[in-house]
Amino acid sequence: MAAPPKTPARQPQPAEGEETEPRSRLGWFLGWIMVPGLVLALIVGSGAYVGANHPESWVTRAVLWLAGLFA
Amino acid sequence: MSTTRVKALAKLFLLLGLPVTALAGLFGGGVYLGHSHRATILYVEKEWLGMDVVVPSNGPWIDAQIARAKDPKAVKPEATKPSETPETQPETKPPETTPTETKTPETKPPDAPETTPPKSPESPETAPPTLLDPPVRPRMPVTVALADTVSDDLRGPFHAAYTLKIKALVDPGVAPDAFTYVQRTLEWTSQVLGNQLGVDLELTGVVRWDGAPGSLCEHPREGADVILGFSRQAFNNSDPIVGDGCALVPTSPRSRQAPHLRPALFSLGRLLGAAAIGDPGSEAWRAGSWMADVLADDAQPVSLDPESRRAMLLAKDAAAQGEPPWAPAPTDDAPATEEK
Repeated sequence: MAAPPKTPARQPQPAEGEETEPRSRLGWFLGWIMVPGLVLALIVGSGAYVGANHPESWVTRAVLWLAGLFA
Repeated sequence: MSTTRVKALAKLFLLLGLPVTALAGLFGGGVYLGHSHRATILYVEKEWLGMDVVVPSNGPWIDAQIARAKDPKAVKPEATKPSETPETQPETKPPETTPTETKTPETKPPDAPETTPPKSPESPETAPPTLLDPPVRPRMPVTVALADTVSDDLRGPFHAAYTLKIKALVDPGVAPDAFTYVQRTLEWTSQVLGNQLGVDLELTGVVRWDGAPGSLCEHPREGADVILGFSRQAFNNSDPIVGDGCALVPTSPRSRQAPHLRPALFSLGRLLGAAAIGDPGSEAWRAGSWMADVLADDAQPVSLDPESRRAMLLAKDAAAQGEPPWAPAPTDDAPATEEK
């Protein structure tokens, strides 16, 4: 009787939600701090540029009107 | 409407509406911040980023910020080291003398009179108080462009302290409280001229006047350098603006906040030797120089073109050396009254 073929030893499957390998701190910092912060800073900075250089534009007047409702 | 459709709409709102609202909120917050700190942001854009923007001057606080940015030691009188002050200084300086700017209150003897707060070098303490020294400087009613850096040959005249004494004649019809109005207008004028030329105005007196341009220069100066006549009349091409040491200040109908500010700057500019610029297509006119578009409305920042500024600084230098420039002026000095 032939022996059953040997299957390669499997690595133990990680539990659900467990990291297969630890991420580097630099990757975590870039992914969760730097890139989101840069995007948010760009959005807020572009708004500040519009508010400072175009004080009479409809965007600025609309924002000031909206802010005046809560003042 | 079925429940499935409501759920689909709710999911759509959650997936699209909330992110868009969050982004719009961030952008709107930035717009609000930018508008609230407009002067600071524009100053940073101009001085740090080299952008071609007009920086408004919103009052003394921005000047303090600028002075601090240019020379941090100039606005920090506390930085002087009191421990290095010799103890023999009270004997060498009697208590009656006013303290200099480098003298700290700690150097005063215990029985010395109450010390005065440190003042800037531009305001000599020996000068008597005038009508132009109110406790709180009035806020500028219009936007004023920040002065550009002067060239090397004009740096000396710009930084030299010079005070122009002015006697004001006022037509009672210019404002309900004409005397206060003239005093406030000349204070604004002094702030602008101090920023652009380093010239301070000292109001020596205010006299009621009937508004007749012909009688303006006949009034005695009474120690003043020049006489300004604040008139309720608008600019016209019939009356000369400046004479020998006197100038007419008509009203600007398009300015609601300060109808006599630009005209006063224009008349003083003419007395200081700058020419009226009558070309509406010139760079000075488009930039809002008061020597060109003197009838600009309040939305136009008050600025001065480089050529006029140079002429005024040279005239200031000549006046400081005893050669006042306010000689009889040509008759065709009326500004252009053409609409933009």
